[in-house]
Amino acid sequence: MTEPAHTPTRKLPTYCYQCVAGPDLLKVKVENGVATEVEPNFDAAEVHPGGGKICVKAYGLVQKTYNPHRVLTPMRRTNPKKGRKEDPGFVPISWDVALGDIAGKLNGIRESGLTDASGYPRVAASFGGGGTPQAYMGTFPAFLAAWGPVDFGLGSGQGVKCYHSEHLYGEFWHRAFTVGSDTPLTRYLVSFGSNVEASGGVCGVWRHAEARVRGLKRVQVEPALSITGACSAEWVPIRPKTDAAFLFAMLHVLLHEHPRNALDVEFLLGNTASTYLVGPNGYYLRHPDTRQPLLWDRRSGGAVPFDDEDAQAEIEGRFDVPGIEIGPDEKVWSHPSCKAKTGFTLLCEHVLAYTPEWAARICDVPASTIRRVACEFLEHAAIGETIEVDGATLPFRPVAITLGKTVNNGWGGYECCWARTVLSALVGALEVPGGTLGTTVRLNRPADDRLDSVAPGPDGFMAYPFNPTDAKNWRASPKIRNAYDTLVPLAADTPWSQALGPTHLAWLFQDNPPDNLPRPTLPDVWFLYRTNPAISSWDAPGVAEKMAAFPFVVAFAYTMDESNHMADILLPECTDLESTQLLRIGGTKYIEQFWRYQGFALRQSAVEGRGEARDFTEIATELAQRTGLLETYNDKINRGAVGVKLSGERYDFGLAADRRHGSDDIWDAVCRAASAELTGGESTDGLAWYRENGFKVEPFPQTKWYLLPKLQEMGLRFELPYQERLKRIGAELANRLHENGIEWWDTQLKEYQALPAWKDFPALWSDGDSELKGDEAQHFWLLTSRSMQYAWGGNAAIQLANETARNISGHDGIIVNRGKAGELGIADGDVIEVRSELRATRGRAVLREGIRPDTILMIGQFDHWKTPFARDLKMPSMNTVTPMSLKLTDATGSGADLVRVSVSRLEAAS
Amino acid sequence: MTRYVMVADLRRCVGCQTCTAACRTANGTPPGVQWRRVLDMEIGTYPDVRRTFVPVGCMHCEDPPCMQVCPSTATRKRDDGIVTIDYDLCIGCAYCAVACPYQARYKVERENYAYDGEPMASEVAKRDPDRIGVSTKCTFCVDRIDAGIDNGLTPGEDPEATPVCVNSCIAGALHFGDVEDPGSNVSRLLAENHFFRMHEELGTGPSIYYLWDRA
Amino acid sequence: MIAIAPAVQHNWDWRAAGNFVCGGTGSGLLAMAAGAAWLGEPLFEVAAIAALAIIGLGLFLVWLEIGRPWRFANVFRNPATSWMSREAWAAALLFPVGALGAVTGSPVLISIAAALAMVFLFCQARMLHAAKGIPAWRDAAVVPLVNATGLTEGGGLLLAAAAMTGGAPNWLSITVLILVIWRGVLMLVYVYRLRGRKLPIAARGSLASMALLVVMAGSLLPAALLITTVPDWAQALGGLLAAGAGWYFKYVLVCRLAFTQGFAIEHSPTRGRSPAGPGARPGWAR
Repeated sequence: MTEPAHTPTRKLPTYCYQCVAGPDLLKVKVENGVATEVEPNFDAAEVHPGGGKICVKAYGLVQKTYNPHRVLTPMRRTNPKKGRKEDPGFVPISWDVALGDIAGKLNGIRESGLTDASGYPRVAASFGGGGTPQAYMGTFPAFLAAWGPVDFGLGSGQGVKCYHSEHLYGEFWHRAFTVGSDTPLTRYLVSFGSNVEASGGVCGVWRHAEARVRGLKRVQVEPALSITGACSAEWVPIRPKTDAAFLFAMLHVLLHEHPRNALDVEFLLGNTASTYLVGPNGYYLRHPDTRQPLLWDRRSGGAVPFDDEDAQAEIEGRFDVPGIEIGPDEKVWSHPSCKAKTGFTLLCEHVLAYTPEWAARICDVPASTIRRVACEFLEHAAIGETIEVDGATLPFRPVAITLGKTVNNGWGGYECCWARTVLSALVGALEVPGGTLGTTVRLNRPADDRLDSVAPGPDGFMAYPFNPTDAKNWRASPKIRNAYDTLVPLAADTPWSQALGPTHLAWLFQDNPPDNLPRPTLPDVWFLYRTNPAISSWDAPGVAEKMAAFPFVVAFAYTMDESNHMADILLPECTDLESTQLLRIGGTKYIEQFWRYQGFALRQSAVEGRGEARDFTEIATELAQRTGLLETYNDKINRGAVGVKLSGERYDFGLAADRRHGSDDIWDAVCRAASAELTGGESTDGLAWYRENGFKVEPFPQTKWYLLPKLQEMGLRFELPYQERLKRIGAELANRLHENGIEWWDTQLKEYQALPAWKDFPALWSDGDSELKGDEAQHFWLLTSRSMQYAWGGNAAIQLANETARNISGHDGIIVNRGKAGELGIADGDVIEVRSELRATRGRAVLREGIRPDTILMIGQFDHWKTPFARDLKMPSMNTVTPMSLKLTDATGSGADLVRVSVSRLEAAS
Repeated sequence: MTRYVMVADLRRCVGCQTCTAACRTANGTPPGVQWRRVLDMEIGTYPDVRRTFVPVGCMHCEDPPCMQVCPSTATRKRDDGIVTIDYDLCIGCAYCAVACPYQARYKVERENYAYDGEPMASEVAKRDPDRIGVSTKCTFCVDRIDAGIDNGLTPGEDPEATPVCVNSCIAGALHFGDVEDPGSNVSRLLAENHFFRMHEELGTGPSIYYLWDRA
Repeated sequence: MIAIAPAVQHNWDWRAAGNFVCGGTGSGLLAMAAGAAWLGEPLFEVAAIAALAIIGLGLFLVWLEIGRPWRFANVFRNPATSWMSREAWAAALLFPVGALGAVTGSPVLISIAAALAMVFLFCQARMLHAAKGIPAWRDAAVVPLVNATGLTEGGGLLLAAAAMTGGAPNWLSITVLILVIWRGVLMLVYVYRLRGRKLPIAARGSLASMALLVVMAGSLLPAALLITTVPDWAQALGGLLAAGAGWYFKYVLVCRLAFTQGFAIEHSPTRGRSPAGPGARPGWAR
């Protein structure tokens, strides 16, 4: 039911979820059937944490709809040869033929088996944008669920472009797929490269603007002065990849330069494992019978199990205690008596050498600055204060630490995430009002309720769904090509896990088949949607080359682009303003999306689909029917595959499984079920209601933003500071891999340390400088920075995005320190070549003061050679020069978005 | 007497250009014609550097030099302070453009579109040939203000009666209202904070006030 | 990225410069023609007609530049405040009176036309002065300078023409001599006034080189040529230099020196609990 032409002007509610910082609610103005404007949905002003506003990307939706470069008919490739230089020879075909081709392939797969000789799924699907394509693909997830095994792990930049280590360790420590500050209450925030003013979306900008005016002090530690740095009270230019040293030095200052009672000892005693005793082999000292970790009880003068409620635990010290240690693979050390130290004592010893003076040399930041920041962090923690939230009295600790990309992923990511979390714990600012908070879960279940995902685990900690590392259950044969379940225990095994594994390994292994893993194969059918791996991956040209080998690629195509250039079938789907979907909103999610409401919002077909573009749900239903999966597909929808279970205690809007349903019927049922879920069955408002009203919500208490009360309610602790479990799991993983002759993951295994130590992380990159062109003066760190105008939006082809982005420094070239550029004879606007060991990219020099002299910056990655409009921008891309390698892959399977390069001037500014 | 002004809180602005995009879309200006835009200014030298984002556009001056110089009387100032351009009178001499110290005026000689070739349907819907060959600039969304007032709404408070850039601002940096009304949001902001106006020394009396600190 | 520092304006190009060149030269020439008429010099009518033609050419050039040329009549609508309207009105009166004077040979009418031309020229000078967006134009020193150079150009052109067609009268040589010196002085005053913080840094180079050339080639050299009895060719050269330097000045003034004001802030804001910072005026001397 689209808006017919020549009707009066109307404003229709819908949502924008082009980036993970959404969704935001908007209204689209439709005049005579044409979308002409978008505007905030002020009906949601009280509901949405960003005042109902929408970000700059949403304003591009009108152009996105009417972009003349859109693919508007299904197309088939006529040139069997694939490659960048090959003309695909796409010719228009009918939907019937296109879907027939796809169904033919799929049915062939069903006949020959869903997995191939290597045990890998024959069907693969890649989606971009941090999970946002799911907000646009209608019921396609139900089709994929009905299908069976699908490889979602062919990456398009995940790991290197995301907060990878934070995702995994964050979920492990405090159900924090992403980590944010409690911005409305925080008074002091140390942000290591977290560019929240550009990446936090509307809610981030809104909440931080309010906080600034309220008096928040944010210290931004980063090599180049980002948008967020610009809006911070202080910018500390740090040498790239040395953030862990800064954080370790902060730990040192808190632990060795302040009295114990300056810390939140009560928090450490009651809510962490600081008191747990650690035996000589580095594992918790346990009771021989109950196997419970022990702590030293001051009252009884002996060791007692950690859950002894009467115990007066010593937080630090060295004690002679009998007990056992349990190592990897159930290896047990029995100690009639041994010297055991508390986890806290080990922490203190661990950071003793990490003085600010030590860190200053590494970070190129004065020791006095590091010390001052640490002291300010402590001073602002307001230890002992409480605050009333929703009638509950909670600790109030208004200090937080956030980490940005390239700090919290790749080598050093573990160290930074650990130190940040421990620092927060030391002052009791973890998961309490004002402090450092997790936002959402993706690896723990249920995904729509972070607090409900808390379950008791071993040793008084939360349970965590590690991939097994024991001899019996470890998966020697991975489920999919990136081997997440074999190599990365922390990646767990939920629907998100495949995309959170070492996704680039799926590409890397094609060149270098790994020893003793199944032979890397190509999927028979690969679906692509809202992703462009040939541009967004590290070593993007290399990935593009590999994509050319894929036998049958189906791309849901907006315009032609570098990835669907390799496709066999292009399918035009109705875009953002043309199709229908209901989305769960509210609660807590992503970095700054802390709502006081939760519910559902509708994306509606405000205008008719252009050309032959089809609603994704119709496409999914058609594929289900043509592959004989209609019943299962309907069943998956009924079970909640599109976000809402269609039946509950007092309602049932389930679809009849044996017949085909139209898109409107499906979404009407989904809407009714959503209304019923929200109201306990009282409301059954359907699609028509949502089309008119846009969204429906119920209150979400602010107390649910904080994890600590939930842990306390369940008698659980944060698994901090000592990482006994990770140490054991790492050792077990090493055993499994070595038993199977896999030695190539040994470097990654070293990350599994109970107390992570500083390693010379920058050297991992700069060791190869001798391979670079020119002398040392020409060698730089190349970094990138988030662009609100572009990030995740897949909107490089949108003129408005380009135009608005160019108002912000660096979007039209490569940012170089002005003084350094002068030394190299580079003037503003000169064309410079940036060359890594891999290859070169080029662009215009943008001279700025707000960047370290040893660093250059490329915002956005634009080496497009196919995407209309974008290909004419003549912009550089660090993805062209960033090598993809096992060496630069950490234990979580992530890389870091930086590369060593040489810079040389090519031609003068025109 | 009413005088509409805009307040831009520099403490809040993050330079996201949402206002730029909102203005471009709502007013249907062609590519490159940004009646509202945000500057990215850098101050100081490494490592002592500040970066400030500054929304600019027509300042709707109390004593608009553009109006003084306009030979056709196309540029006028309303009683409520809004400086307007009558596209039917303007001869496109661009004298106003060189008279404006805020580079707020644009003159487009021919229609142009986001993508080469034919206009998109949305551009067709917004097409206004009257704007070709004449001066254009920010209008403070005067049509919205007038329509809003006609409907009993208050500019600066009710979104329907408020400039789209203000509505769009995701940092709460842009505000609009009647500075002569001591109870208005802009009057309150100006009373509570330090502010300056750009190029005050030129005597134009600009109507965009920049907040930079609490008073 | 948006230029924050002052940059050369692109709203007015060589066609607008042509209007100032022709307007000044034509007005100056008409003033000289009036003098010639009273002194009984031959061919003053021709000079008057040439002056009108030159002014007309300038207006034609600017007509080519305006976006809505067929609405040109609207230019007359705002004589109350707009120097462009006033310029148009002056031109509108100037042409019939000047043409009638030339046809009838009436020194009175030619003189009235010359007076109107002076008004026209004054309007042009004030037009530039009123353009607050262009620091090089808005300084008050631009008004006498543009007026003086207009007269100088007209005088110089007439002197060159006279010298090449039978000899220039002394009064004309002396007038031009005085004018080139006067213009040189005004140029120096203009440059002096724009020193320091009155002109964007990027415009300084153009100003200095232009002023040097105008003073040297447009004042000192013609003055040297005219100060003593010299051959006709030298008189002609002096006249052409006087005129040419003025033309060059106005081309530079409109097309190269016309930097915009740029943007500035008086304070950079507090960000959270940081103190407010200094302001900035990119492209300008501190």
